[in-house]
Parts: sequence; structure tokens; C-alpha cells
Amino acid sequence: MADIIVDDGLLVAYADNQLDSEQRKLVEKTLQSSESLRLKLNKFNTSGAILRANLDVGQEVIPDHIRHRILMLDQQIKKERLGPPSESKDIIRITGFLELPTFFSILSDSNSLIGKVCYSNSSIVPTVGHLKRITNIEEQFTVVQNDNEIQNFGSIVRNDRFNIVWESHLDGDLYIYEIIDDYDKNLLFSSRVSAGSFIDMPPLIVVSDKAELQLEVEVKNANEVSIYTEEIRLEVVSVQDSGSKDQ
Amino acid sequence: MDFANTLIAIWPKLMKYSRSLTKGNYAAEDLVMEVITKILESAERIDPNTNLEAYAIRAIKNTFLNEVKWDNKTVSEINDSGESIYDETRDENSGKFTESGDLEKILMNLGSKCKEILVLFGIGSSYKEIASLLDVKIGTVMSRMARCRGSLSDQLEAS
Repeated sequence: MADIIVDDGLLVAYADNQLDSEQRKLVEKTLQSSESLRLKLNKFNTSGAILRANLDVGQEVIPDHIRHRILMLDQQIKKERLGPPSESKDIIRITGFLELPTFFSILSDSNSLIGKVCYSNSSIVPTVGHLKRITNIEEQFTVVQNDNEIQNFGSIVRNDRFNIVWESHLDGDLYIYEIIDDYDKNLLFSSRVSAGSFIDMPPLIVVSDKAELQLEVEVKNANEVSIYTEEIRLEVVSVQDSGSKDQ
Repeated sequence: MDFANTLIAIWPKLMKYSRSLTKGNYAAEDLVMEVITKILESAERIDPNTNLEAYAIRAIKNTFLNEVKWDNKTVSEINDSGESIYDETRDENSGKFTESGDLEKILMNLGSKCKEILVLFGIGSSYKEIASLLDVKIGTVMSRMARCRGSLSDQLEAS
């Protein structure tokens, strides 16, 4: 094997593991006989390690609100691409995807309830805010508003935050959609869920005057095969309606 | 190709790269979201076999450079008072290039070409990918990388 002249470019590429095996062998042979090259290699290795350690993308985690923004943007663009619906629809606008830390601080101050995706029999104690424990293990989910558990076909108050509380005993990806009609649904929330764990979920608010809210909860496994879906239907009432009903 | 989920997966890399160009976290995030929006809007026209990571990084660079051209007037105005909007050290709250403040300052001193190539390497791009992203030959990447790494080592030793 012939000796080669190892210039700095070749040496840094060797340090960064960018050479093929034949090139590596040639560089290694030259390195054996050159102290100065070995010193330079050490410097390249050190600077490479510093760059990787400081710029390692593993330290960077995409925040939940950015993930939601991208997914919702994607869905909105796809929807716009399909064109306007054939008839005018009274669409429920869901707002309230607050950044979670902000939301937590609001709730901590007001001593309100945070709805969380949770496992009913787990002994997990939440570290932030308050966790609504679901005791009815026959129900996979429920809706919580102002400390009240609202069962399927129950009533929720418009313009007030509510949360979907999910009892997870499956591993997979959770999706919560708002059903617009038979052909259209909006993705409101998605997250990875694992059995026995709970995840944070942003609150939702119904701000339109639509009388009914229909949600779909779906968990998909790793192969994208749907393994669980369920619908939640809720009557939406105004505060006045709710008050008069209570009386 | 599932563009949205691919973009979510590469978002950390895009942010690291974007921060190397912009003044701070918010500007970097805006730049990345602008590019992500453009990609999602034009998804139907993008070849499904495209390397989306390289495509997005190139789009971030081009979008940033367009904004720089657009802001030329502002630059000259600020320059009159002796400052440049690209003087990232001015921004105390943001402009955080890396987790290490020392490295951040050193990279800024090395010049934009060095900073770019070192960041691309640091976020995990191969020399081949860097060559493609910067539209240069791989030999140029090797020589520039050696020169910039030498400067980086000198600065690290001096600091």
C-alpha cells in the first residue's frame, strides 16, 4: 500500500469518520509515522466532540404547541386544497391551545382543575397542577368542565374551558378529532400514549353557537392500524341555558 | 411522503441551523415555521423522493438571505449609528447559538462561512450532505472544514 500525503482536509475527514475504509487505512498508515499529524488529529477530534456536544439535536425537543401547529397547518392546507364544502356549515371553532406552562400557571392560581389523559388505576401523582382521577373504569374517557365529569351525551357550557380525560391502557398514538360531518373532521390533538401513563392535554373551548359537539378519540398502534376509536357527543349550552336547567 | 410528520421529526435540526443565521430563538422559530408553511403549501409539487431535510435547510438559508436583502435599508440605517443588526452579541435574551455561551461567541468570531459549515456538521450532516447544501464540491468542504476547525481549536485554546 503506497503512502499518501495526508493534508488537513483529509485528516479532518478522517477525524469525522467521513472516509471510506480504504482511505481510512491509508491515513492510519501515515499517522503511525507522524507525531505532528497525530497531534493535529487530536485537535480535530476535540473540536468535533465539542461541536457535536453543543449542537446535538438530541437536546432540542419540539414543543407540543409547535407539533400541534404543524399538524393543524397541514390539515388546514389539505382541506383548502380540496376546496370549499358544497354547503355552508355551522362550524365549531375550537380555541384554547395555550402553551401548557401558561395554562398550568393560570390553573394553579385559580385552583382549578386540569384534565389529563390518565390511567384510572395508576398510582401516578401529577407533579403539576391537579389531576382529575377517573374512578369509573368502564368508561375509557370522559369530559371534565369546572370539576364536573360530563359523560357522553352530557352538556358542556359554551365559552368555558373543558378537558378530555383519557384512561389509557394501550400503547400507541392518540388522536382527538372534531367531527364536522360524515366526510370531514379536524384534528384537535395528538400525542404518544403508553399504557399506565398520563399525558398533558391543552384545554378546549367551544365558541360558536352550534348546539352539538362531536368528538372522535382514536388510538393507532405503530403500524398505523387503528386499534381503538370512540365517539363523544355533547350538547353545547350557554351559561344562561345551563343556569336555567339547574333551576 | 408524510410531509408534516417528517418536518416534525427534523424540526430540532432546522431550529439549530436557523439559530445559526438569526438573532435569536423567536426569529429562528419564525424562520423555520415560515419554511415549513411554504413546504406544506407546495407539498403536491415536491418530488416525494426529495431529501426533505436538505430541502428545508436550503429553503431556510434562501428565505433568510431574501429577508436580509429586503432589510438592507434597515441595515444601512443601523450601520450609521455604528451597529449592525447582525451583531448577535447585542441580543442578550436570545441569539443563543448553542448551549455553551463560550462556543457561541467563538463561532460568531469565526465568520459566517465557518459558522455555517461547523453548525451543519454539529447538527449531524455528513460532508456529502454539506457539499450538496452549500452547492460546493466535497473537497471544498474538507478544506474549509479543516481551516475552520483549526481556527476553532485556536480560539478554544485562547479562551
